[in-house]
Amino acid sequence: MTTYVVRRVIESVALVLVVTIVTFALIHAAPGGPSILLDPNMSPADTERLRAVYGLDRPVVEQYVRWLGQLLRGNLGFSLGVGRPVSELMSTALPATLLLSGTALFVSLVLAIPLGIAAAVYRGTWFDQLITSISFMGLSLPVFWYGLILIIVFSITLPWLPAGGMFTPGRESFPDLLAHLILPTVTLATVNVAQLVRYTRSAMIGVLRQDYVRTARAKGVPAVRVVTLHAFRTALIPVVTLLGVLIPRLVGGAAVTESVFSWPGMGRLAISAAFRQDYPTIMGITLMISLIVVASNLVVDLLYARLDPRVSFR
Amino acid sequence: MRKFLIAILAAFVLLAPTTAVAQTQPSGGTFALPITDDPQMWPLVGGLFNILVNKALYSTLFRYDLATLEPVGDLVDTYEISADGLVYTLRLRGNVTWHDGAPFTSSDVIFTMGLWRNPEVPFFLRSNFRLVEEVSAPDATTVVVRLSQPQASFPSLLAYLTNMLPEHLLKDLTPQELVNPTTFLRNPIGTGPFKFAEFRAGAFVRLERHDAYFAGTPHLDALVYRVVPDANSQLALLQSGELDLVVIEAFQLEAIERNRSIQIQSVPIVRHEFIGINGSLPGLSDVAVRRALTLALDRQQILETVFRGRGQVATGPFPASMGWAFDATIEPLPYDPEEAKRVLEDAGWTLGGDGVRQKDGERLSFTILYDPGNPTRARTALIAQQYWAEIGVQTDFETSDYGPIVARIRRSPPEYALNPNYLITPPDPDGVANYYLSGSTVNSWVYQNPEIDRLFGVAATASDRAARQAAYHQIQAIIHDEQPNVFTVYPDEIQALSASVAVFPQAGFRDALAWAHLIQKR
Repeated sequence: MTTYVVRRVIESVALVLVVTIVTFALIHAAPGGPSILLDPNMSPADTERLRAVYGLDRPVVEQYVRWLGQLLRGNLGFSLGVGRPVSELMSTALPATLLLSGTALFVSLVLAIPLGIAAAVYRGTWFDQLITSISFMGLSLPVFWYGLILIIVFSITLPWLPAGGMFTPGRESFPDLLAHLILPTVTLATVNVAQLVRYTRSAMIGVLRQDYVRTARAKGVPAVRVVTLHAFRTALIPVVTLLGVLIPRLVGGAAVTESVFSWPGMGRLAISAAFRQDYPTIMGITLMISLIVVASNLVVDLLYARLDPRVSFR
Repeated sequence: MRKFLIAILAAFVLLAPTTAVAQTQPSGGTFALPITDDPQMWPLVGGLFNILVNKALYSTLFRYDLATLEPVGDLVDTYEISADGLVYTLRLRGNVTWHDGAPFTSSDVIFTMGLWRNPEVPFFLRSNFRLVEEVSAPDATTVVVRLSQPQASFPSLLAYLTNMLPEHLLKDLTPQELVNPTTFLRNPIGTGPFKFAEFRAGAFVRLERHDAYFAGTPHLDALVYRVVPDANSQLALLQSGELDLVVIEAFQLEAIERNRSIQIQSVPIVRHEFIGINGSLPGLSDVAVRRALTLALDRQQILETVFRGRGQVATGPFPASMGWAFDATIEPLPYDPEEAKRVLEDAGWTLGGDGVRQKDGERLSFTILYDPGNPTRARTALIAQQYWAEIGVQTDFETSDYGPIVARIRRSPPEYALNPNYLITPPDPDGVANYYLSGSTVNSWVYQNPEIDRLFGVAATASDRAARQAAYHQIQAIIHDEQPNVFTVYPDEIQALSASVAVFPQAGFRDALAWAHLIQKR
């Protein structure tokens, strides 16, 4: 087990390094260059000066080595265009994203797992069909459209909820935060619930057909116990796999939802960094997200061992 | 049904605190407008999202009169120009304090102008002050600026985004640190009508009223800039009352013009729209071809459809809002496709078998480079393609983001053929010179005309308004003849204001924000 974990950690670090190299090469190959160098009023001499100040006049390989060297000293560098340390930008965006995605994920799990199980147990009934068709709709909703519709209905037509942002500037309070949280949470959760319901349902259906479940039933174990204890644990495996995908997204931020609702999170930070070709910020975000992807994959693999008796690590 | 009612009740309970707060709003009120990115609040760098905040936070020596766009004193009270036009004696207002209470004096001006002239410190408007030779301060409220040659636009350029900075807080910083003085920018200190209160990355900057503002106490309690990059979200926040001003493009009018909670204000600004021409390419270097491109394009139709009639057809790079410098006697070239064809025939461009005109093996076939994210420019490109096809000029499209487009058209030689674009310039026509001077780095049309260079020189140095006006009128006549670009429209700026706004100065919002103390809410 320990050797396995050590091996996986080493592999993961190597993978993250490759990701940063590829990203660095890609963003430097993208046309245009950082927007701070594109001001039409700026003289070429001043552009060159700025380029030199930020080390952008060095060869790309040297720039990467410098970036890596700084990183080892715990420094993610300075944003190009916003003029703040990347770590500062990320440390304000990350809590905002965690709050939004965390709430959305919590709401999704609480809704989706019982609904998915119920749909599986009452498979083929009108209830199952209703759940299935609603989750299909949820999956096919374009988020930017759905978010705007929610805004039009609940912020403009019925002026109940704020249309965007995380706080009312100058009047920050917990109820104010909650009011701002509702619409983006509903938007995000709708898509997540739809996905999770379908996974839970099909996993449960598969498991409910298996011999050991039939055996448990034959032994006279009450139906509720069969479903919640015997079947559900096995059915969780594919759901956990999906969580392995959803958790990095939790941190990476839901770019579209955050944009529609002007939520100051990681997804929007990534978009604006990409638009202004802010290399250090793009690198910082990429690094963090890839670290979390490999870490959550590792955790998911370890969870399999607990959930699935057929899996063991040697 | 009961559950539904409970849910509704719960929603009301949740919302109750926000509603209560809204009712106890102080009388001055908050005015909120969107910016597209986190502002740096550092006047040495450009970018609209920085500039808009700097306008209210800092002051300039001059600012633009809202009706005429002529420079009038901001931190400057009165000024004199020597007879030779070389020496400006600026007398500063005596009652100005920085937001931290320190007095504003001539040494702050010396310090700030020192930064503009220090080649070690990147400054995006440095070329505007290339003629400044010496700055001195005989006393605390007098500054004497000596220029190496007369520059009639000097006061106007001093009003253009050139905010004064506090010497007492910045004097010990190295040039390297001045690129981005992080400590200062955590609590920036200016002399503007609003002082810094709070910044939340990715969310907003909140400025509060500066009670000791020298030009009168501002009406508002606070000015808030919310970071909202998405245009649809901006409009949503305007309609829900969370923003008070969104500057929109004409195509967005339809979505909101019937909304009674929104008032629309159209104001002429110093902006011109054009289709940029790479004059170094075969075909496009021919004046006849460029004239034909303008003649064949129904610019009135572009004005009506793309700009919803808000603006006027352009005759050159000097918008009508420039006032005295604009020559209103020049008639825009008419929409006349037959004349366009004649012009091309006369110049030897004849129709080939494929319907495309050609001459000596060169075909009039070009690529229009545009950014599809901007419907104004995208629709202009589509319209131009159709009109030009009718006179045998074939075009196809290449799309890209705006940033890479700017980089490509600014390369030397530029890497494009035709490109719908726009420019917002200072209200003094000298601010346009750089775009048309031979060999200038921002002359992306590779336009070269020694007479234009000479006239811009004359107009820049003449101290007499009539002489300047004559030179600028001549420039407009030449540009009208040679059509270095297809000038399409001088669009108005369309301001969508919340109905709760009582007063927003009738000027472009960039200029109006330099007078932010005048903004009033109901």
